[in-house]
Amino acid sequence: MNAQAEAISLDVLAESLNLGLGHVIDELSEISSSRIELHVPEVSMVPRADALVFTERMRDAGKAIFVQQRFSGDISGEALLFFSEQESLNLLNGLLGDPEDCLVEFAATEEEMLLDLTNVAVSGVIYALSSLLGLRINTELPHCEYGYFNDLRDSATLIGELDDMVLFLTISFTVVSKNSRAQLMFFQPRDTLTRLFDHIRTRLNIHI
Amino acid sequence: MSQLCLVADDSLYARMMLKNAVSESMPEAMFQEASSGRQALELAAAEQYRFDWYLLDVNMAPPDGLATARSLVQAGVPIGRIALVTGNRSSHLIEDADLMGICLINKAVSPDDVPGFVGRLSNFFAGQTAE
Repeated sequence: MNAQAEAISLDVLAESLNLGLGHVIDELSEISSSRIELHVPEVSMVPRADALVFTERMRDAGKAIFVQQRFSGDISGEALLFFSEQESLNLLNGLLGDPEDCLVEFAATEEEMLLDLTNVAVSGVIYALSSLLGLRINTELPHCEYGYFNDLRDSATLIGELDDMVLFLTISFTVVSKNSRAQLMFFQPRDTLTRLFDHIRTRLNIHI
Repeated sequence: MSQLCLVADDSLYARMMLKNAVSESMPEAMFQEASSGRQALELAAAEQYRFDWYLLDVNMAPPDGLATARSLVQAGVPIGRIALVTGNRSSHLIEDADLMGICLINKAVSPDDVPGFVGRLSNFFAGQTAE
């Protein structure tokens, strides 16, 4: 794939993130009982080393909340919603009696809220990708973990089994009333971009 | 008569879709493009705010669409010449746009919605032209 084809494919993916979260923003707002503000998405094909550097922020964040959700079909990969420890505290503050307790083992209702938040956010993005590009994508149920990134179940598969390049999509949103910023990331194998470009070229009638 | 449109969106694809949709209802339209709010304001100032239409994405590199619109209005652009063109369907955003009196147009999420998108843009242009 040439540079122009890669650039337009990454651009369409970024717009899909935007449209996808924009489409479900009221649902996210309802789940979190807060206004949601979207931030500008970033999409890149990065060397594995860069993706590893990125995860250092998550490694350095101490204990944090991670929600993972896999998807498969015409494209496959893994979505990860990440709240740092402080953001987790902000998010859970007021929802639980004792935040210290909740950080050790946060209550089922809050876990359910985070699972819903992830499910809706990922579904929004998948919906936009499916609608825009005519892709068939199935999502698995998300699972939520509180702990260190390195201890995260299957964290190795996010980046560890990939070869030299990773397709990395990320968009963050702020849960305004909790002053808590969530980062939604999609990790996909490098061949995904080539497959996506075929769909983009066909569906959007782009000649490159 | 040709109409000069400023299209501001950080996505090249979104700008392309928007220009195509605008051209459906205004075939003679001419465009200038910005990929951020700052660039939109610079282009608008360079043209001495003579654009006929300002079509602004909301979620783009700063300032965002709402803030860009506010700056344009402060510079004397009639608010009826500005529309926020966005995929963001937040009811909070709708309230903000209503408070400002600015038109909000939903982007097309799928190719099936492109005719609807063209219709929404046409309604905006027709509504303002009729005033």
